[in-house]
Amino acid sequence: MQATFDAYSLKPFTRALACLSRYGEELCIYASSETLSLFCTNSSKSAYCRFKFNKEFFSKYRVGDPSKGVQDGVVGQLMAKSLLSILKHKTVESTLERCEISIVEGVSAEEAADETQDGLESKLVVRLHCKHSVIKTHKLLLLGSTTLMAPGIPDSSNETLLRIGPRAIRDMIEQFSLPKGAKSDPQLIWTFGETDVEVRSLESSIDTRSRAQLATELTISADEFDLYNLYEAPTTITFHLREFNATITFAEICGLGLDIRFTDSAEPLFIDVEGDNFETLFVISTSQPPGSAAQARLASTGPRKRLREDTPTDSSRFKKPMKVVQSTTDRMSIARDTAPASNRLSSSRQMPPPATPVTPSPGHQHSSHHTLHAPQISASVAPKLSQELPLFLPGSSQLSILDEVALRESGLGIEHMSAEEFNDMFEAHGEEVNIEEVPPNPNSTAQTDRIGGGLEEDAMFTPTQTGDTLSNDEPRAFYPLFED
Amino acid sequence: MRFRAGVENVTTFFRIMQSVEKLQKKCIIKFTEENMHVICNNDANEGGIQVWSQIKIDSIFNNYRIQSNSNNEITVNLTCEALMGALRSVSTSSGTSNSASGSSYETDEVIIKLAKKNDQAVLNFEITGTTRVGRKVRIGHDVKIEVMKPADVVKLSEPMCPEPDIHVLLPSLQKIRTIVERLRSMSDVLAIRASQSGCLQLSINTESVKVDTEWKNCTIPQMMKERASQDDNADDPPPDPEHLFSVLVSVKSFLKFLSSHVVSTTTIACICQNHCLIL
Repeated sequence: MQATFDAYSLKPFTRALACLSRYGEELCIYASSETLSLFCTNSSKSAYCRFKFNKEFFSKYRVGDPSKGVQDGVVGQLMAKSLLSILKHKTVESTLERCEISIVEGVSAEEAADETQDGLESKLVVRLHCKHSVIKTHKLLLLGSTTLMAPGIPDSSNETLLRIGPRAIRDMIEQFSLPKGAKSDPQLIWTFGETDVEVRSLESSIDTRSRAQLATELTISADEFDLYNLYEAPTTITFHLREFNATITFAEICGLGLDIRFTDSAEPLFIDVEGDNFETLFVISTSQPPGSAAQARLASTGPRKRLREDTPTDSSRFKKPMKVVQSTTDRMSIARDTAPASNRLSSSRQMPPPATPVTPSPGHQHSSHHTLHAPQISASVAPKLSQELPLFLPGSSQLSILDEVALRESGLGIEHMSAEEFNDMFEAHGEEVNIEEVPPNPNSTAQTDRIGGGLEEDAMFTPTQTGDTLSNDEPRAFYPLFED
Repeated sequence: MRFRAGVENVTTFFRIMQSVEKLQKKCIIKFTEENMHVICNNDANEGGIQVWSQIKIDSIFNNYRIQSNSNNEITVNLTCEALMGALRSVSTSSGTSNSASGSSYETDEVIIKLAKKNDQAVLNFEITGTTRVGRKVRIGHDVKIEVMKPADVVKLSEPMCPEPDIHVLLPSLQKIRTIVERLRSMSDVLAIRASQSGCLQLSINTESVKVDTEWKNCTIPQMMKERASQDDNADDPPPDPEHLFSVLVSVKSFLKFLSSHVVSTTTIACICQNHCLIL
């Protein structure tokens, strides 16, 4: 992969890196033929940030080597701070003429036995061409990641869409005197009503926390928002500010507006910021405001330590905060996520096909999106729907028991496919995927477990990870993308 | 026990709290009918610095209404940081273009009152303002406070100090602060000396270094002496104008005090020889 950009584009690029470094430590790069994506997830997997630069952003952009037939994008991981420190250096801004970024893969592609060649010795080479014919070359080691993170696609039917300028929202947040420090991670409770928006600091329960000395409440007219499409009033969401602030800072510096989308209090918040030839997506997890249930206490501690949970939850009434991203070893999900902007936008606004009674099927791990893939759906839709089949290749240890059963039941016969065949199935459709939204099963409530098509409230919860025993039973021709 | 007031001069209030916050985390505020006293008398204060201040309520509040069983006085214990947080969202940039310290909303009105939320006494700030575009915004802050019992209030009293030997008007605190900051890294103890001739000296003296800074022509205010000793004084020989009265203070504490330069217009230093410095 080779990309070149000039000094003018350096600024948004560096700002993007600065924002990414505030979200998480490790930055993933995915280069496809149309876009270059940089994304990262924070350590507690409660926030995700993705910057997608179209190839028009760069003065020169080339991915893969047509002669060798390498079509696929390049993936790698590196520390955000390293790249940031190179590009943010004080002399760079004034003297840079153009910057070339290229990814050099260490091991040759001919070694068929070792399919994980990308991971071994990839290097990211940053070549800065400065004034006075000075060329600075930096080489950073790119690590291959074993698991890539990608958020699920939000369900747009009951979504609230807000648009606001960064300055206005910065003003709102400034009113709150929040403790500053690496350890503190303040939360704010937002209540969106018909005409007013109310923001409260989480420590409003002054009596319970001895530490909290100040409680603040802000009420502002909804007119502050440029666009205020509330699905249902009133809606209350709570989320942490650290990543949100990074997003606002980015939007403010670039002078772009924020498009905020969310559905309800347990599902993540999506923020879109669009600029010249680049698009960004931020996903921040939300939790239920405390006080709604005694179990709500768990929610507020939840966001900080949300690891993949194996144990079933037993409270169906109480919504645990959603995981923002699901780990996936499938590049297709990344590809889909990073498909050129126009496609994604148009597809997400499409009317979903009419819902038909469906059997539970392996869906996305993002269980709020109840993808009810039914083989019974009309044939014309089926090939497209099959795109949305598992984020992960069949037979991976991430399938739960129910999912496995559903997979077999679906009759698609994919469980016996090898990785190559599976990929070929997609290959024919190329990257221009029409992603259609499937409406959720109206009977289901949001479940955090990965039960595909979560049905009645009393659905049985099984461990989300079946452990290795299941996968070991069936010999699979499944090659993980990156080996440990 | 009722207390309600409109805050007219938020900037001053904020600056006072800013100065106090540098000295001590928690402070005591006593509201009386005429004055607001800010008291920091924590003995554990490093260097033994205490604050006893008296502010006329007219300079900060308007529409002041107070009512209580103990002589219409209310004494509360609160965290400076919390109070500052509440005031910060009100105080406008006030001349500086640093908007980080001020709010970006034009404030119309600030009302402070004593309230109770969930069995907890709080000082409630109601702020109504307008945003940049002209829309109304309402902000509420609740500062957790602890109302002091009358028995404890009585115990609050200024420390006993002898009659100061000399009073001198300090030059601009800003300038003194610059000097003392340099001295801080060299010594822990600072000597402050003043003489009747209007000479003020700040000096440090350690094994390795000796620094003297002198200001000449400082004003010596004529203090009204109400004591009976006035008559005796008239008979005494006039004090030697060149004699320097000195006191040794901790540099750190002095610096902490100097940080309150944001509020000061004139500062009078009263030196009690080898005992204390009252500013």
